[in-house]
Amino acid sequence: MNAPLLQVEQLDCVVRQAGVLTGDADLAVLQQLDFSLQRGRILGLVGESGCGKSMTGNAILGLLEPPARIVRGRILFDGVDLLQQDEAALRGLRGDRIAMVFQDPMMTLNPVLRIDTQMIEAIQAHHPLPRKQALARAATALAQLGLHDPQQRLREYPHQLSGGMRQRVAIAIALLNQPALLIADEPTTALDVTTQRQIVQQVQALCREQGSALIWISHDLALVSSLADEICVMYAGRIVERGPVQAVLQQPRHPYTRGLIDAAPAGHVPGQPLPQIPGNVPLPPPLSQAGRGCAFAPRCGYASARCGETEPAPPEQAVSATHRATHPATHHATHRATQRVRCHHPLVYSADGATEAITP
Amino acid sequence: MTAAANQNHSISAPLLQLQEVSLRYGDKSKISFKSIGYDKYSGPAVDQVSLQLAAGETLGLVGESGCGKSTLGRIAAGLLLPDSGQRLWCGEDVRQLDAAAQRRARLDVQLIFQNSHAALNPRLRSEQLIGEAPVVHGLIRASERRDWVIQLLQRVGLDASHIDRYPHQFSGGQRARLGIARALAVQPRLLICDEAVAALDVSVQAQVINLLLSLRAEFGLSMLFISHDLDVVRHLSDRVLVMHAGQIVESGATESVYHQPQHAYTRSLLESIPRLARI
Repeated sequence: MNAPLLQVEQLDCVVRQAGVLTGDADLAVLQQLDFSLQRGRILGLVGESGCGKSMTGNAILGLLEPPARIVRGRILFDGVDLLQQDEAALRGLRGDRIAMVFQDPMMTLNPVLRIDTQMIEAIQAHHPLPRKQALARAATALAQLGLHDPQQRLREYPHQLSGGMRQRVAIAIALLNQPALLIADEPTTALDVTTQRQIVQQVQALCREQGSALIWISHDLALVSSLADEICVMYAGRIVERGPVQAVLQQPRHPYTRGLIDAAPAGHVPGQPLPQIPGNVPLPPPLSQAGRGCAFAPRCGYASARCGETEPAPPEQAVSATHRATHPATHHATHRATQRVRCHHPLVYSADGATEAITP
Repeated sequence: MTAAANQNHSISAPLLQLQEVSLRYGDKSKISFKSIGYDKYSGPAVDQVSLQLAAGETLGLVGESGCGKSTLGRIAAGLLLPDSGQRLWCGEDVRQLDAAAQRRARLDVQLIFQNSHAALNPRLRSEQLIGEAPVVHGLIRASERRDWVIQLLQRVGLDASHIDRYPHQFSGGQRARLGIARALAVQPRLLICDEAVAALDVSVQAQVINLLLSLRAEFGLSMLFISHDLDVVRHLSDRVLVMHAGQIVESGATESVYHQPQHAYTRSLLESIPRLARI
């Protein structure tokens, strides 16, 4: 009963890149991804563009298509490995037990169908509910997301709605069947701050009410801090730091997390130069070259010779396999509460809040 | 390479002045949007807006999507003519000037856009992208073009070896720098940045903001910084205008607007920004 709802274990994912002269090469886009999520909890998955956040969300739902493929690992949902399921089984799960919301609501909505048609379809695809009851449930779902006059909205087409309303409809559809897990991939990035705040509050409240677990993918650390219980920070296809959201954001231990927080203009003296992370996010390396040193080392102010040679162990491995075997219950309890980092020189904080890196 | 070329204009007049400018889209044809059920579009995009921008000043313009801030930016740049109201550049109506002065006044205002991909001609290499305008306008000779472009590339943090690259060979952050270099190539006095850093990741955004800060100090540039990101605007601006439904609902020194917002709309905007507790 203490088993997590979702457990991603040692997930490796590659994208095949065709090369005319060099031959095809597999690029390592997700490496040793390892995290779990308890029922009803909210996980923020953050990182800059190209670090593998959306790839992770799509992998869980089995939405990866060639040239991307999963080469290793397990994705356990309620104890069942999703990677071993056939397409029919996944279709049964999607939109019912696991739902997803995308950045662009028109990924979800069919432009030529009225909202009611689409919502009733989403319910009846999984549950034999009479049309009238399905319609009532749809109206309730819209109302819960703060849409005025849901009866009117149900009779409209997507193009008659504003961007914020469309996204509310897409979220309402995702939540229609009270999924155990909702994956939200930057759903408010294209929206205004006031709309974003309302939607975030409503989704948070609804997930708590229904007991749905939520993975909120975002590049906005501040937004995630207001929403999530736990946070995973991704860099170059790896989880570099994770833990309770307040701990990670107030005392980040990975230099990359620290750099991301410091680079945001909020809280700095206006007009003064911002602390910046030099360089850019690297492109995914060919599989043959992956794992040679820490991916962040070229941009890191604390990097040592060791960082260029060996890659730090993924956070999960710090709690060794023996620990897991002997004390499964304590393992999950502690794992949920502690902050873990994938770094040779994690930052430590003195009493006055000053930082320095541990040099082994 | 300074922006001192036009300093002989009258010092007393503000660099840019908009006097009660209004612009309404789609109103000039016979079709009424109201008649086909789109009455929400029938309001003016910009409604009786006045603003002043002094030399060396950075003015922030914030508001939500659809509030008219980009339209106002284009009016300020002289790209769109307002239906009513006046745009004065150094106290003068540019359209009354002679052709040469009009050209210089246009060069004095340069725009930097959000979508650096769309803003850069995909078929031109950096050298042409950046060097074309200054040669055409006689600021430099064609033989000096390569050196001029290299100097600009290095100033915006790109490498001299990037001179023969096409836009698609750059990353998003590098293209933002390319757009800035192109704007600087004609020695402008005012940069209008329309969501110039909105598409960038936070680490790259910090790099570009720092670049804008140092360029502003070096060349004494004025800036009109348009953004929906209130934190970025606060970091860069001396004064800030809050726009809502085509009108300026609040204006003032940046810190006073952020600390003591007077208008309910400004307050709701500020309250909506997610906050990160900092140690």
